[in-house]
Amino acid sequence: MDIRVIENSKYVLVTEIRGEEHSFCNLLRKTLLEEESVDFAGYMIEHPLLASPVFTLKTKRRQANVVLREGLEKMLARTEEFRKRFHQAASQHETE
Amino acid sequence: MEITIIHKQSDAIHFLVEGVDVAFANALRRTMLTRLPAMAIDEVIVIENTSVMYDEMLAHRLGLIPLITKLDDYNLPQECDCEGKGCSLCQCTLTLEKEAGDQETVVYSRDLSSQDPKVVPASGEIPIVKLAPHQRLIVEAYARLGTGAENAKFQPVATVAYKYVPVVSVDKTKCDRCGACVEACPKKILKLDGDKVSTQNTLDCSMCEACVQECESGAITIDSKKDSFLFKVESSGALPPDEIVERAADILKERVREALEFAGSL
Ligand SMILES: [Zn+2]
Repeated sequence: MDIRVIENSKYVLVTEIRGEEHSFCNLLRKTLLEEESVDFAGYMIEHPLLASPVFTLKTKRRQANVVLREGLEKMLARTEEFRKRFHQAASQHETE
Repeated sequence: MEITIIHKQSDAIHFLVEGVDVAFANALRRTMLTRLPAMAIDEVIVIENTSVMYDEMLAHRLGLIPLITKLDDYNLPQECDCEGKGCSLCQCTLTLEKEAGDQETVVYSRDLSSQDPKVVPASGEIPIVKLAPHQRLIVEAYARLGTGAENAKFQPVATVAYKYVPVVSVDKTKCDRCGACVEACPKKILKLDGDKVSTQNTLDCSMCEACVQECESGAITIDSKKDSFLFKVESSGALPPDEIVERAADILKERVREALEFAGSL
């Protein structure tokens, strides 16, 4: 993953996320939208084969980069929880 | 978040995840499909091929054979010290030598012999080519790790899909106990239980709504839970199904961590 900043101001953050597609960007978008101070979160892929997604985050009252960091931390915690719980459930279950 | 395993077999796993959203379920599904590496034959040297099949076709067929993968034993070529040129840390050589006698012979995937005893075809029963009497095939093939994003032959999964959890409910006040829905349901979810219609094995429901159409009094409603997903993961044989899910979660986690590193630098 190679992320480049296109615009970075207090309430607006636009980045190009190279090497990613819908799986990651949609999850990030949905997670960010849970946060009340997010005004807009979305991404666009200019071309399905040739372009990388450009992710835009607009916030109100709170700084965009802080909101992004919190969103990512939430995603990390959820994935970790899934990993842990799945391992627990699968190792207890006998193979048929 | 709650996870329940419904079935676990050597090549498939069904499980229920409660308390996640569609975005997470889909990210996980797509990661298993396109990001999780598996071994496949990627380069073939045809030393002799007198069969009717073209060399290219043969190479294509060899590439599609699922190979048992040990992810810790091999590097992805782009991450290997050899810089993708190919070495024993990122490549495994398989050879195939077969000649038909006086009878026609079918070459199967089990005829491939591997340099690494752990990296072998997941099934030996896959036919590769049919040889007429005295036709001969000598082939050297190189397997490597790759991801589904690159080529579908590297996918370790045959099926990875999820569906919503069905909620089948019968309104007792409207139901006239005609039993038409019991007949209509292809999955046998509904049953006539004395003087009332009850449900069983609702997780099998395919939400076809045949029962809703049959029910003249409109007593049946089919709904779905919005935060629960039934996953079905079938392995191609390359990796055990539970390892597929766990590794995919690890890959997703790693990507989030990379993004977090970037966010921290802002
Ligand atoms: Zn190498």
